[in-house]
Amino acid sequence: MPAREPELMKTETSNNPMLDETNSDGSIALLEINDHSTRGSVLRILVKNHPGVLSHVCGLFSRRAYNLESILCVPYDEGRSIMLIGVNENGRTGQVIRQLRKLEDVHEVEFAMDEKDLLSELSTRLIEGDRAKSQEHAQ
Amino acid sequence: MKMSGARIITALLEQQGVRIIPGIPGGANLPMYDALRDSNITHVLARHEQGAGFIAHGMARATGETAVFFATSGPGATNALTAIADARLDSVPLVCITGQVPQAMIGTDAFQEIDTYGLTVPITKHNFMVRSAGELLQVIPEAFRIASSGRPGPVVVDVPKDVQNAVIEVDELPAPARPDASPALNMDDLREAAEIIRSAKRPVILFGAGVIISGASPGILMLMEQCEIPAACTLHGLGGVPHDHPLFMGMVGMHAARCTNMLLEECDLLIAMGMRFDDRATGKAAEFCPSARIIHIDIDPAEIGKIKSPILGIEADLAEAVSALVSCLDTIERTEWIGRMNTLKEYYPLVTPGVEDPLEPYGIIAQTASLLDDDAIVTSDVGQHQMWTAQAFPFRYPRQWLTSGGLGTMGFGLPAAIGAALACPTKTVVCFSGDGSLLMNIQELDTAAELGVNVKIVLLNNAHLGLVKQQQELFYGERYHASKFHHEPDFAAIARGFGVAAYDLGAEIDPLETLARALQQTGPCLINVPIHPGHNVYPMVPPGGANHEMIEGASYASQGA
Repeated sequence: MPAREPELMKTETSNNPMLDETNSDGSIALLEINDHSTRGSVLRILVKNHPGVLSHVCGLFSRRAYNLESILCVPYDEGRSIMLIGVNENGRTGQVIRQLRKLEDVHEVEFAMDEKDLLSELSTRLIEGDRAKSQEHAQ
Repeated sequence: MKMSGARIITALLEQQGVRIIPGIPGGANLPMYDALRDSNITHVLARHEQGAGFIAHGMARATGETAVFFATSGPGATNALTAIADARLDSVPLVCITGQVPQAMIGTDAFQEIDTYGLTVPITKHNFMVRSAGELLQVIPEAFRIASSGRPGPVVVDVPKDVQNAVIEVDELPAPARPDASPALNMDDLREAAEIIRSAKRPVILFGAGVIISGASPGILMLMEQCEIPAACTLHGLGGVPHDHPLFMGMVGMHAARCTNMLLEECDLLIAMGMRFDDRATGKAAEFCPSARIIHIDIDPAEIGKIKSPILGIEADLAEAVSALVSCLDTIERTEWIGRMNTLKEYYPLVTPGVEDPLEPYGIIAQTASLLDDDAIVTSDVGQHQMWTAQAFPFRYPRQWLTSGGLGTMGFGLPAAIGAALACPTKTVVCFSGDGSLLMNIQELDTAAELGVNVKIVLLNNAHLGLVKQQQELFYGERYHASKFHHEPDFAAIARGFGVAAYDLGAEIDPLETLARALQQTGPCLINVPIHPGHNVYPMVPPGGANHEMIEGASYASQGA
């Protein structure tokens, strides 16, 4: 074994910044989601309506330790349901979406554009209703 | 024609090309076993459902074909869980069909009732609970499609007993399922990747199981040679490139040769192919390849950006992507970088003390390898013997090396070897095991004896949970606890008790001659190899540490690092 130790080769490029969202491809857009703007985002997902689909979706969140803030599920059409999911995953929403897309029972995942205030409105109403009830109770 | 649910299942499995099904019958899957009796499918009776699952692993991993196994409800299903979870983490195409109590009894805490569907949600690629015999006509082909498409994985189909018994009119069986077509290649991305490769000064390819699964070995070899790019691999990439290829650097990560981790440390471009940046490969991810830009090619889009953010992520079948990539590139010479690689190889190689001695860890692996045909299949259990094998066995071909990498299941090796031997009856299958691991599925010796499969168990026996002991020594101040077996069974006697030939190399005057004789005979045998418990696997990156923080044993003293 030679005793002399080779020198470490000098690096010329600096450390790579976290480049997350520059993929030009529109179809799958692997890295398309700008996570900084999606803090507290609401996802709208179209799922196959059958017993167990909620386990798959909620199980994904608990298994991967994603933060599921709120969830609403209603029947959509024959065989399908719509879920609205409030996600609080600063920096990882893109990853959440990619994982959701892998579930067989999930047909579509997108950011809820038209419905994005629905969950917060609903939560306000539920909480206000609850407060009104407890006030009634107190009187 | 009138068909029962159970008959529909076996007919669809036959049509799918299934020839062998390991499993164990029980109350809730008896109708399927009844139907199997009339089928041309061979059933292999395992001695434990985990054994059945890992026999299926051996078949699937050795061939790439989707394998099926059967288990009954309740304990049958829970016993199968480890094998299912293992298939999920290692991307193995399996279909597990479980019996379930009749639908009318579901939810009543009936005998051997368990929520198999609920239990398998987090450990499968997908799972089904079948509610009518008619549904089977969609579900069974769908299970095969899902298991084998894209990134493979396990699918569980839970079938209540009344569904198996229900008789329905079937006009025609559906066509056998085929895997989905791979995603269309994005040539703009591939041209961009080619440009990045062209401009890189110090590129390294790091490939994983994706190379084996997609059959990308020829493409990767062309890319390596044409563009003078060194390559390293993960535990599951071994065999993707011949071990002695001059541009191959071996396995990366926790137990890599120092030169391999150093080369990755210095690269300016990491081309990650069919791998998922597992922590055993990367060490502390934030410090992995600190100077590198990353191109990540994988069939699973959720792996891209999960751990490391690439400058270019490509969702594609690896074999297709690599051959397209090669066509975008001309010959590139990298004299300086290849020189650097050779210098590192010369100064910081893997050190394998005792390689001539069949009673030493590297020795038994190297001597066994030298006695085998080139096409032998090697399985392992989990622990020190696994890492020694990964480091020292001269792998040449894809699907030659079957090991539990992601889940790291002790007890994998023997049943997986049985499965591989069933699927490839002309090959010799060697299972390198440890005493701790072998005890976890030792009942499958009986299955091996019954089948007479050509499985050679090489048992590296140090009467310890060796890798646990090693961690207690290195990271817990030598405070050993529960890592030594204070009672040592006579493994050779146990094997003989099962009707399996056995040898004890420690008791032989010429252990090498005995080893050769044992490997040459047909049928199963166990070769006990006493190993000194003081042997550790080196080098080693401490768990949670960065890959440059390698701990090395005394045999590395001359490397001066």
